[in-house]
Amino acid sequence: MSGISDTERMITLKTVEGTLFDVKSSIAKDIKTVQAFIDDSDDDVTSPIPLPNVFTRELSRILDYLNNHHRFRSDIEKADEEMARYDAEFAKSMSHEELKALILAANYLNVKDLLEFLNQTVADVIQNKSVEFVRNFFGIENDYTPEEEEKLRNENEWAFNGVEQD
Amino acid sequence: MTTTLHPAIAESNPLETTTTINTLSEDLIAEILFRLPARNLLELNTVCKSWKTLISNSRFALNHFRRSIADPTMTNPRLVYSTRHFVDCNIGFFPVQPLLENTSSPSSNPTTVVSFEMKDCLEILGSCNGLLCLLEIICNFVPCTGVESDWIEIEQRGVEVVNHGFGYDHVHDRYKLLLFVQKRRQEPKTPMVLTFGANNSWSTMPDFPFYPQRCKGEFVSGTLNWIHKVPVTLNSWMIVFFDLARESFGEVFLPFMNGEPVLQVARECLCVCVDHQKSHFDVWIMKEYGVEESWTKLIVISHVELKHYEPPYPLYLVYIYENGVVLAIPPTSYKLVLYDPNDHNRLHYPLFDSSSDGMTKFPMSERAAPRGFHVFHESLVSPSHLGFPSEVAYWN
Repeated sequence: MSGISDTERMITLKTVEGTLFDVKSSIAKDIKTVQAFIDDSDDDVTSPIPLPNVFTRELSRILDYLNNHHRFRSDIEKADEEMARYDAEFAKSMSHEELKALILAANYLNVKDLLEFLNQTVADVIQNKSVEFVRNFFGIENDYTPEEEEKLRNENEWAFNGVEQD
Repeated sequence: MTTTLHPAIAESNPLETTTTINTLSEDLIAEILFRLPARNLLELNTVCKSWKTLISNSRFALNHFRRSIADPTMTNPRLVYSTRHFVDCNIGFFPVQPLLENTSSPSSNPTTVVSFEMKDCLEILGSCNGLLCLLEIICNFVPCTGVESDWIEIEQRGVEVVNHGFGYDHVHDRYKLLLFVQKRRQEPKTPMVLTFGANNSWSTMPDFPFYPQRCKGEFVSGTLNWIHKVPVTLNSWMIVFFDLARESFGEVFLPFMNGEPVLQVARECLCVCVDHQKSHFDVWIMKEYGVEESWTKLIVISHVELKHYEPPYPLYLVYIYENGVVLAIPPTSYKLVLYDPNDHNRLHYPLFDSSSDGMTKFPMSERAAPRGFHVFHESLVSPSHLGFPSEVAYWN
């Protein structure tokens, strides 16, 4: 418990829906957008900090992730193993839409480690999936004509047939 | 500053966001795509036009390569070598990762072969960022993207390329080839630099302070490197380098002696294998390029363990795996060998299915040394990024 006292300062965050979350300042440090707000303020921040882009569901997940990671880091012995198990559960607990919503929130709040973890999670989900699956995942319209798409596929064909498959 | 609201928080409108779908910006999508292997990304070209633009972008390709290079599942590293079979010159590729998995039967991934119809034997001059530089009487790139550039004529009649190095100048975003050419034997070797691009440019390097004793310059961190004997000394060696951006030369001190070191690049670092007092080999790695304090001893291989070894021949490192296993060629057996420092039974002879490479004279399982291996990593980098007119080549 490196330097965290019982009387640690708390920060209140307010989501779009108006839900209030009390957050230890040591956790808030990992939320760079919030930390920047605190740093820019002349006085101590006492009133809730509004997060007009962040919904309750996402903020609650982010805080859950950060709290758990802080806890793992304080217990060095089992940290890696437990963290990996927690991360896997965390990723599995979300639908694709929830995952994307959390990426947007983590990006907006600038929570670097979480964002990297989520990007990797999405990469793992879409790796070696069909183009159609990837389009659906991201909600992307196909703007190729069938002829254009066919032509592109032919150009890349060697990559999928010519060499060994992993 | 009188404002107390952080700008990023202040400017957004809460009501709008409740109805929007979760659409990721292009920056966020790029961050995700960086984590997929090159081969997978080529397929995702067809998702939509903006993805194709992103994936074909030369900066994206380079960033993607830099981020993937440490992870073998991303770049699928392979050993590349050239072979000759009747009129065809072949480039053989085989993946290094499966060699670790099974040493009792031939690798399930056979050698992939790319054929070129050539008058003369084809030589691989270098492998860099997923591009290969090939030499016949002409020079060419063949990258992972399946795109092959036009060939560039570099030799006039009677001019012979004796030494070379191929690499990437990250300062000017240019690929360069350093060649030592010689008109006739006994004549001085002239160093020249070919800068690849829409207009390939040649320059002659005056006042070259050394002539490399080994043929191939090892590319790392924007430099080409050779082992060089310190003049006037008996048994003392250093690394000489050519900085591709500055087009200048320099030296790197070697903190160890005893016999001629062999230079190799592994894990994107310079490595040297030193024969130590005729009893064992030390493999050293320079973790940070140019920082002499960062030389670290990585592995020790005793002569006894390399059963067929007879001093004073050097040991050639081919590849160092993440888990510390070394793929090497002991010169007296010429068989590729896996040396596992963590295994009691340390030596393994991997079996290769190289039946498709047309190399009937020296099949891989019998004799590896003449092949001159290069390590090739898959990337999205394409000759078209260099301004080359290029076409898709079908490698089948």
